[in-house]
Amino acid sequence: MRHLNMAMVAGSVLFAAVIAGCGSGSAINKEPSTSAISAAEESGASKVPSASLYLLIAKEELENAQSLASKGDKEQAQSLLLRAQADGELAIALSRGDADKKEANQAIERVRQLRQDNQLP
Amino acid sequence: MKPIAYLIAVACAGLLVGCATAPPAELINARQAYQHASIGQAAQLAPADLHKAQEALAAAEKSFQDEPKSFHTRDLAYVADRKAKIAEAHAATAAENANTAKANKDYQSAQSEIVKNTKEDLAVAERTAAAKTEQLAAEQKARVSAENSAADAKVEAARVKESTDAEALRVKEASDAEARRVKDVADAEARRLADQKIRDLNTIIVLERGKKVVLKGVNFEFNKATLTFGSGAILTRAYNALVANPDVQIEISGHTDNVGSQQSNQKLSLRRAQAVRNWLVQKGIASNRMKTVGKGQNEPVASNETDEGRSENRRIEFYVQQ
Repeated sequence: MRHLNMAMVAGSVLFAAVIAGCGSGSAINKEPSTSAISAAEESGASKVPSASLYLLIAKEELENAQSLASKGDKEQAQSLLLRAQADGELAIALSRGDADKKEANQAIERVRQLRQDNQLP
Repeated sequence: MKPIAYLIAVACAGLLVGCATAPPAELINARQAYQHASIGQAAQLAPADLHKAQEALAAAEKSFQDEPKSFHTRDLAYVADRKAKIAEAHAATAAENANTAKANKDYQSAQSEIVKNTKEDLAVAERTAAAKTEQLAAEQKARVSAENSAADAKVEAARVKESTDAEALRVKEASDAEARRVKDVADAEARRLADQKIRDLNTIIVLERGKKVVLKGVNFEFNKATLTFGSGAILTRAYNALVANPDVQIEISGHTDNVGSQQSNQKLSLRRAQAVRNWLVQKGIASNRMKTVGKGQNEPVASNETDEGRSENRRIEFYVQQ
């Protein structure tokens, strides 16, 4: 009887584990990668040549991850989403860097023009 | 752990792992990316991002040790590569931001310099304008003063002219009155003389022995023995009287007033008497019938204190000898 009870407990645990495993593998967490891609698009990455490449790669990686997840390979899909997130964040950094560079150039040009207009050294 | 020490440790681990399995391309790229970022400006400008890249690379290396050929290792290495690039991008952004800040600071400095220069120029302009205004005010004051002076001078000139005109009129009136008075006196004298002359001319000279006859109307030029033009008429009457009385002997005497010395008057009276005798001789009277004498101022017939008296004293007399 005691062995029967232990067997029942072990079976219940195993079942719960299987249920839990099926629950966690049923969906992948795309939120970090999609957020990064959305933020990159909002920052104008598609208009910055160096950033647009990584934005494109991030989107492809997101699609591939979804494809893998749909085929049941959720673990690799989740890992691939890390790539998509990283590319999205790199696109954001490059996009903002380009904007900051333009702003810096404009500021420098503004100074040069001001000095020229007022005949300053 | 410092980036260099970490790189050495990673390299050693890589060598150990490499003996067994070659690292995937993603891990090689990640190592290179991290090395590039760690020796660049990310260490100073984006240390937090560089640290995240370091952690990501460590995770990839550990995964490579545990599962050298798994997709998980490659994905972690890929993420580590991107994080190193992100650190470099953020460092570049920080550098650009620093450039922007510096440019903005330069812009503010330039603006301050411009404002300072503008203030200085404005101050100079204000001082110049103030000096100009002061000069204009002085000129305006001088002009007004000159205009006032001119107006005063004009008024004074008008006043002086009016006064001068009045004085000139008064002087003219006085002068005219004096001229009229002098003219009246002269006219009266002229009339008197004319009347006297008429009387003298109309007088018939009568020669009576032992008597004197004054030849009124016989005159001479001043201080000379030259007969005046008008003397001819009375001398003609004297001539007629001598012609009418051919046996009469006469003495012609000259007389003067008391002006001048007695000696000179004596000589002058004699020469005047001789001038009369000469005139009569030239007319035809024998010279031996006439003798001349100069009496000078010794026998006045009137007072020498008046013009009329002195005029009567200056004379020629005939004395008819017995």
